[in-house]
Amino acid sequence: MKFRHLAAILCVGITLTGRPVLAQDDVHDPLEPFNRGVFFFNEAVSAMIFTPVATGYRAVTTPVMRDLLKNAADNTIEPVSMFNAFLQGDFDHGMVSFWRFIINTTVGLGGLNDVAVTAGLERRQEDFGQTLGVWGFGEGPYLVLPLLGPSNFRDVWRWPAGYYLDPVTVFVDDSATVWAYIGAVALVEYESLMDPMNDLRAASIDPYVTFRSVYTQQRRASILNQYDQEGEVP
Amino acid sequence: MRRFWMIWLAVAGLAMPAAAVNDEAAKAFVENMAAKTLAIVKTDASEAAKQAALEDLFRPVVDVAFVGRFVLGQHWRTATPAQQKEYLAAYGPFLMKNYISRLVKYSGQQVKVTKAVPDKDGSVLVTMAITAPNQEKFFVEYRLRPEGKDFKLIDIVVEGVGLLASQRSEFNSVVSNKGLDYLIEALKKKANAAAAAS
Repeated sequence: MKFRHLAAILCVGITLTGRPVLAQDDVHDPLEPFNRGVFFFNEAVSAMIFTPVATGYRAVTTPVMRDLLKNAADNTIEPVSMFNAFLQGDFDHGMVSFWRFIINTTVGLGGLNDVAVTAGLERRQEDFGQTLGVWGFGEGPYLVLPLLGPSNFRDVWRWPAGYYLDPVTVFVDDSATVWAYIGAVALVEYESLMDPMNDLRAASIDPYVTFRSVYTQQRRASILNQYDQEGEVP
Repeated sequence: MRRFWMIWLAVAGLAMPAAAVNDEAAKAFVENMAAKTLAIVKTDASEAAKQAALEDLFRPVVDVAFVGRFVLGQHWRTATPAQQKEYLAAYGPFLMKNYISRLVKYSGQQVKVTKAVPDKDGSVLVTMAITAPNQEKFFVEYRLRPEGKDFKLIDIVVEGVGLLASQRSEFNSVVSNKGLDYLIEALKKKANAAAAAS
């Protein structure tokens, strides 16, 4: 009887206090001095090369054109998401990704139009870092990669894996074409992230830590696939 | 023993419907705030006027004292009362100018409150889906703390990225490296810079 009292009190106690729900981003960053150096380098390259190039791209395109090109860039890397969804054992999303690629490449005119989303096939990017996360690998120490930006010892594998899961980089032999393709996709993706990144920088007193925190939280959420189409958090 | 369980059941029984009522109220609260926000940003008023209206709308709703204390973490306890006061006085405008004022950049998005889920600490997480033509849908969660019949906003989580969590690690780094007074000065500068930029 005493034990049951105790159990009941503990139950009530747990419901009342609960876990500390306000999330913290306990990032493991033993390489911080090195990472800060690379971050500083990346910020300089962004300011001196990437941002001017993306601004030039904005100057010669309309918002509608950029939307179309963003769709096309997303579509070319859709197979990477498909393979990773299957590797994660997520057959449903693998098929969503498969049909997105087929429909958008054909009906969507080479991926310029995301017609699949109107059929309820929503895009969700999956990469090999997420796959390793689903398989149970921890993120390991935080790592800032030159030019590629925030990463960690687990997510760094998304880059070589992405290279070998992308039909363009695998099947196109001409290295100039492959680099042009990688450059174009990188430009379009960078342009779409430029404004939110500038907002983050403007609001931050220590942008290195802000980017580290945002990256880590985002990756954790994307491994859990926390948001399905109705915004249900399972 | 039996009496104990009856009390326990009574407490649980009382708590459950109350929580459900709370969820609906939390949803309505967010819907109401969203409607008022949209009404402000959709007018033809100047950006400055819109920002002032937005700040007036959010100032009574955001629990600046709670949020400010949380994001300062362990350094709150070691701060002097004078520093705590100065920090909170600087943090409020910093938060308003850098986050609330940004809502004027509205460009035709549709918002829909999808659900409200009570959390174990008594707060309620309200999820909102934001859609725009040719853009991917994304989700924002608002963490609300019931206060009397009303709610206070204590966290915003955008696609899994929490404002409190990011700021807490940012502030911890700044204070550890450069001290609290440096942070306070930086908050003031950031608030002024954001106000000047708009």
